[in-house]
Amino acid sequence: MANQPKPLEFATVTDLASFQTALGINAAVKQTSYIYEYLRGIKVSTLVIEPVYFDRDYLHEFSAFYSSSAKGYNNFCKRAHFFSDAIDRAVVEAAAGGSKDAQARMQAAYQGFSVIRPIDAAPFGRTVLHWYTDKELDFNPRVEKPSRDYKCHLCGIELTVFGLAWQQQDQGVSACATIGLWTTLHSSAFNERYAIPTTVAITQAAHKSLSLGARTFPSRGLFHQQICEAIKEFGLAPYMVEGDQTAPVAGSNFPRSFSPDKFCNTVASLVRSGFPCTLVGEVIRPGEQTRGGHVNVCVGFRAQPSLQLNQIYADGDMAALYIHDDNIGPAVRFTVGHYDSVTCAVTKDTTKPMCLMPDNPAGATNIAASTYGIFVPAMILAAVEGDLRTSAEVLIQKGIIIRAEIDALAKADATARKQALPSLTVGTQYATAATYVGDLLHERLSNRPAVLARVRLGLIETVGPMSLYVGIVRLADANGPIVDFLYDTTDSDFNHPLFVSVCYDAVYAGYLGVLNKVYPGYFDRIITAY
Amino acid sequence: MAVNNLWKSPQRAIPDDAETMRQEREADEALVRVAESFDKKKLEEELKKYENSSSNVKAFSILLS
Repeated sequence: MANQPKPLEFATVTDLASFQTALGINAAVKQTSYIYEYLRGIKVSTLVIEPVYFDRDYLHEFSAFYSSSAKGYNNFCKRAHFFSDAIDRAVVEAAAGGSKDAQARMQAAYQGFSVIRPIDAAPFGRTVLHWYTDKELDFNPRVEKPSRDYKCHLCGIELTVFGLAWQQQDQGVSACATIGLWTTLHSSAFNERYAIPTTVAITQAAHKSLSLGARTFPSRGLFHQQICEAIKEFGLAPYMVEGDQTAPVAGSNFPRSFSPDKFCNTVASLVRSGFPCTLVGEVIRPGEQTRGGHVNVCVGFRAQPSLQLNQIYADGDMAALYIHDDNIGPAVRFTVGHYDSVTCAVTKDTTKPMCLMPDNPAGATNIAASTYGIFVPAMILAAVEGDLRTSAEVLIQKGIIIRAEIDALAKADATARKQALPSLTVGTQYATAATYVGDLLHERLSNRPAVLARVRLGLIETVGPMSLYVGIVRLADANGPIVDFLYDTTDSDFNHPLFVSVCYDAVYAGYLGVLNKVYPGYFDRIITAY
Repeated sequence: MAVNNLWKSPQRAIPDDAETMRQEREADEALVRVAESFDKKKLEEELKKYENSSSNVKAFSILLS
């Protein structure tokens, strides 16, 4: 029978049961409780549901897999829109009729959407939810750089939500690895140049040159090499970082693990640059000692609010990571901890291997996160543009060396002058040259327009053409940022040329002058930003 | 502990005698000697953590599901 038209559905959500009923979701779907709690946290009270909706990802899934299932799946989904206001049919009618007030009211209350697939065990398709309130916005805001605007159209009304897509794995066309890569490729870093592939396209791409004898569909999972091959199939470059701890960890199937500061520093560097981090590792369920290979995606983080004396990396620890995990839901708050690899239990002993733990919001009955266990990362994987050829690891190495050299000079100078010793930290990220000259310099110098103009013109007129992406090493002391070193990302790690040093402090400009006498020509291009 | 302000926007305060200090430093041979004798060996442990492994897609296989 042909698909039948249906009117919009309006539902008021008062509890988990009414939420499940409105969406037609089986109570056994464990992710429902987390998503309900999330929506409750962002004050969602009304659902407006399009009962017959064609979703691009699901249509491809239907075409590749579900159309030939004996069950006779529908080829359409529902799409549920979430509002933090009492949006009823009258409001939608007024907005659809062109009322600016009604349209503004709907946009102000719009908290996102979820595509509900006709798959009983995995109904949550593409889901984009507005970030929940940032309670530390003024002094230590979340870094949400990989997120982007999504535009939806409901009865001709355009609605926008800022977030990053998440969905459940269905184990028909996708497992966690495909879903993780799908979220990664939705990122803002790739908005202007690349089309976003469907989950089917990703799983097929992963098998194209490296199938290893496994069936493409149903997909039970991918190997990390297949994830890298899929990234290459879509015209991007896989960037993989392994752990720095080489001592074997009891029970682990991975040869390496991470120290907390390498993990946090690398994730921060990439996420701050707008690249979501696909985390490859193992999940250890509560009360079990077996481990399962798993992938999730870090889409945001909150930096540690204060630094230890002489802490090298400003991002050497994190207050929280925000992870899209298909076992739980979108933007799950995780914290960095440690676990005993013999008992597989969380421990406060910081000499033990690191792990990530989902952090249940206070008062939430979040079943999915409660039964999750812990995640032990072994690799970090990002998908970067081909123009970005140098590695984040070498960029961080440059930062370590420069920090140590300037630290030695600054401490010797302070000792000679009988002043307090400085404490320098370093951080790294990538940005397009346009973003650095535009947004990042504006953040630093917006209240000094003459200096801002001089620095911007200096970069354009005296440095020469820079690569699309620049690698930024930033040094800071207790008073704030001191200098930005901008590196070429289109050369090799072996050469790794420095474009220019943008110096915010006269004293440290002097130290760079001293270093230039020792390494002639390396620090000779300095732009003073004071 | 110091505030983590590496990526934050507050404008840095400039010392009044910065220009004088800069001129002094240009002729400061002592600092050049510090820079010339800089001991990179102490950094080796820290640098080892960031040995470039990005091109090494390892041979082991674990199914990620």
